[in-house]
Amino acid sequence: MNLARLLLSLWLLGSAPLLWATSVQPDVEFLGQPPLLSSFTSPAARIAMPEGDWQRVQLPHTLAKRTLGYASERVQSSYYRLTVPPSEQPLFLYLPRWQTVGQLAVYGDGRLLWRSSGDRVWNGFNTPLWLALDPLDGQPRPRQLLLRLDSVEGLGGGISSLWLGSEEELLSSYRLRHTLQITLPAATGVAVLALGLFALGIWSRRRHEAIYGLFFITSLLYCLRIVHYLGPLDTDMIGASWFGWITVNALGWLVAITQSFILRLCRQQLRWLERSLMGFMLAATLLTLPFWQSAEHIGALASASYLGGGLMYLFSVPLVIIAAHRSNSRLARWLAWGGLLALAVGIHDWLLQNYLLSLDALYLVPYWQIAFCLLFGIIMGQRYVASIGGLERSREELALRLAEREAELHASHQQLREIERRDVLAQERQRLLQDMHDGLGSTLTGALRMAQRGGDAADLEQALHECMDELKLTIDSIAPMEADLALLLATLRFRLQPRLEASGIRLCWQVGELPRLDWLTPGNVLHIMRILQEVVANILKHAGAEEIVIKTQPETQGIRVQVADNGSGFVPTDTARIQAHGINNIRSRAKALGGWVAWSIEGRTQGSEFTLWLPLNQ
Amino acid sequence: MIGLVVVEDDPLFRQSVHDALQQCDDVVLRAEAVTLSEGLALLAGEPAQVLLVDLGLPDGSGIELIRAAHQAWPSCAIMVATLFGDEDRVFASLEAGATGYLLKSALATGIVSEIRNLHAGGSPISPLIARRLLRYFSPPSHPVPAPVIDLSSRELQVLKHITRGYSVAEIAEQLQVSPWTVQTYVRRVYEKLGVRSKSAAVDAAHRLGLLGSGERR
Repeated sequence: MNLARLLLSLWLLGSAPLLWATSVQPDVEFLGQPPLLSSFTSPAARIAMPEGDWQRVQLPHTLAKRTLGYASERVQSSYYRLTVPPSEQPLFLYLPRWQTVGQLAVYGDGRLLWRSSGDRVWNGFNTPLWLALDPLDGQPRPRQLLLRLDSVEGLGGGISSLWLGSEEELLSSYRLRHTLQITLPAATGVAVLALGLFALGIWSRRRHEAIYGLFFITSLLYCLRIVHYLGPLDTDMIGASWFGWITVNALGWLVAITQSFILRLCRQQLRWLERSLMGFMLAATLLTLPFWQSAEHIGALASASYLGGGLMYLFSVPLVIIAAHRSNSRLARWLAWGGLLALAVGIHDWLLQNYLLSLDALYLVPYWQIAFCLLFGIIMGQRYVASIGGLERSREELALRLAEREAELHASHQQLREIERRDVLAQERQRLLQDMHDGLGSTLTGALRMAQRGGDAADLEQALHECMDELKLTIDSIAPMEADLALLLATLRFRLQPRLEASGIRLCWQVGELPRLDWLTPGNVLHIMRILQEVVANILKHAGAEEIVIKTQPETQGIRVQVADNGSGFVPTDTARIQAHGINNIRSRAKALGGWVAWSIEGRTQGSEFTLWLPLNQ
Repeated sequence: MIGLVVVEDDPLFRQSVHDALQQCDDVVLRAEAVTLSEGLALLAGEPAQVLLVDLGLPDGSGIELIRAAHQAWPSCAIMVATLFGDEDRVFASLEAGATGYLLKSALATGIVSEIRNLHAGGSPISPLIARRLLRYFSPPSHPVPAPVIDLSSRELQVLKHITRGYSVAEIAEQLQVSPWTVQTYVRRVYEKLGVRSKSAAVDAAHRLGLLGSGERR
């Protein structure tokens, strides 16, 4: 019931463009003649009005229904005549469709005005006729028109509604009809083929995705099929029988492959169905091979082939719909249900081809492919968007993984730094302890003993002063020296200055720009400070000097710090046991710094020169 | 006559200041305070010429007192009493507005001469403090862009020489100025530090929205 309603609406859709033709349809009379000829002859240039039993008919008009599978060798002629109404304006004949296996000729007052061209089977049944009635040479317009339709007996024939009118009245309807019947299918064919080639390109790279290959095949089949609707066939290009064989079978294959496409799309395996569809089509294709069929027979067989194809389709559509519903592909479901629509469209066109519907209707199969292409376009679009989404997701995942890795790295780095920091702290603690033990601790203990013994106040004060100096030295050693040896020496001088001033010794300071010493940690700072403090203290205590010169000398590998005095002169020897402790301390500290110390009196008239050499890199 | 106010909780150090002042007649002890609150109360009175402040007061930080005194007694020279003259404490005091510091281990003569020197416009400086000042005023590390108070090239030269260990006298000789001029350079750097750190604080407050825009100028 629904199918009938669908067909009705399709038919209305098909005939809608006719309703635009505004001029009134003329009265038409029909004369059918029994078959007289055994073959087609070209229409004569002039004919007399045939005599017979002319009858008024309503257009669209069909001669006789097609007899399935039957085609006689005889040709019969049928005539339609109509009177041209008087008009001031030039008049035109507009005939949307004539359909038969045969030919059509139009006569005005007995003279040939127009005749169909090309092959008689593939004769441009889908091309609307537009004919100017006024002769170009100014001769009077014919008063009566005669349409002669020559057909193979038994294969049917007929004409649609026709109009006589001015250009203004009819041209727009003709244009619309021509666009719908010829231009749109042709344009669709080109677009579908382009999309098909694109799909072929994808398929060549992704063989496992069969739907691209299948779409290419359907686009090719559609193009072959479309030629069927486009005007009369030029038999010089391809024989009528081969052309018929191709276009008729193209439709069947199109149907079979589309079903296969849907099944692949929803990833459902119905191999037997696909195999039977293919098998049927193969059989139909072989049976209709032109080796044992004439073009006329193929034309006749076409309708049987369509019917068989239709039945096959009717059988497969529900199975495909069920398969599509089992999958989660919404598009496959649409396409499967669309198959039902395609079936309706096919039935409509079959009825039209067999003169069972008004000849005013349009063939709808060419338009079905537009919907199919749109759906395929959507499928490709969805896949494209999904693949971009996937790419972005993978990029996000990558970024996430990178961030994780970074966090891990950061954590391990942090851990390493924590360990390092603990190491440094432990070293520093050890150094400070050692320092407190050797320096401040022992000096304080000495002062304490002195106080216990009730010793001299001046000695006690001196001892406590030394304690303060020790403490200040320790504090200075933790100050940030920032790899600057000059700043270290400056700080040392700042501390020593009051004592030097008190002892009346002049200090000559010659410290210039120095390269960085990146190894100046607090421990190393303390080593250098103690070495130099010890050296200066020795000069103060023992040398009896008046002047001390402290200077620096940058070298390629290190820095030389020199302390010279003008006192009694001092060079430690191994026998100088008394001083051994202090001197050994200086030497071991210098060694710990990676440098060396030396005392010299060479080239000096008085006093000695102490050198501390420090490396640029430890 | 130099009027001195001492804020210090260590009685022994107060005693040594007393002893030092007894031997001279140009420095007079005006008032003494033992806690921060007492010290702040003193600021309501007549300004002294020199204020000697200990940083570790029993009820708060001497820094607070320095800031308040800098405000209340703008012409008073503020001096910090410190055990070691270590960089961090001295620098914080200078930022708050102090212009000198005194080592607590200094002898009596040392105490008096430092007070006189500070009152006359001179300021002591150590190489580590000079380095810190150079850092503070060098453009890249400069924390606040708005109020640009920079050091003059002479002031920079003096600071650089100090970080190399040269004494004021040696620097004066090299720059061919009097030692006194070198001292005033140092004092001026301290004053600039005070102004700049104060405006930096105001600016930071502005950025944090703590002050209304009207109060800025």
